[in-house]
Amino acid sequence: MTKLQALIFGAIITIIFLTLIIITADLYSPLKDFLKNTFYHHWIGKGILGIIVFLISSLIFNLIPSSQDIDNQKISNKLLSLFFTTILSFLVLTLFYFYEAFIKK
Amino acid sequence: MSPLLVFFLSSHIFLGIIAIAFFFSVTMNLLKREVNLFSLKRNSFGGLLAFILSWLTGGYYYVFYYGDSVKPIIKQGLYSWAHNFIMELKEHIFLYLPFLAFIVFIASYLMQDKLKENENLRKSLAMLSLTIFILGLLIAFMGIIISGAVKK
Repeated sequence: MTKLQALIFGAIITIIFLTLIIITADLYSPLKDFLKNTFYHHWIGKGILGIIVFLISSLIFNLIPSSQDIDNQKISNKLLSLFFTTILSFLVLTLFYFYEAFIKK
Repeated sequence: MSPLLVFFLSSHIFLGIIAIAFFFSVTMNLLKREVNLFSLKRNSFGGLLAFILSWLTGGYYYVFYYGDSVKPIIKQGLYSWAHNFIMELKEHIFLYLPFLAFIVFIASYLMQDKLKENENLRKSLAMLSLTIFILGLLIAFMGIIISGAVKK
């Protein structure tokens, strides 16, 4: 896989990971406590873990053997996948916090 | 609030606006028939740098001041939803932006001439850059709402 493709895949995995850890930490307080105890603040923990996930996943995808030629269409499709992942993750977070703030008793 | 916190909060807002402006410029550049590669690389790098610095300065304010001094005032006031919904959403969406900005920056550097030749590639990168711009703008408006909720 080319470096750029690996980085885009890494970003997709990171956005999904962040969305999952944000929601899970809100619903499962031991995870939030773990983040606070380990990283001083849960928000710092999420940010640092996001960076680690991005670096590791990009590195792993970069190791997948394939042609190193840059395929414009493949890159374009992966950029669109990142775009849709971001929009979907944003909507999931919006609905989650809307539910938590206005609907949940 | 200490002068250092005032500096960090002001820097967070200022750098965030700068980053949004950079990504507006990147988006408009990518939508042109003729992409200016120098401007694309410079502005995507500027936007990335501004987002990272805004992340750090805003993070310092959020971690060391907001939670203890601002959040209780909002939660006890008439507009507790400004924290429970707006701030929770804002602080977490903000985590996405540096990663997205990094991809736009690195794609601008690595693709260069291919961006000039391929319209689909340009449009895909423009969509991502536009998303950064819109999310950044949304986060800025959320900041205004949160500030308003503290004063009431």
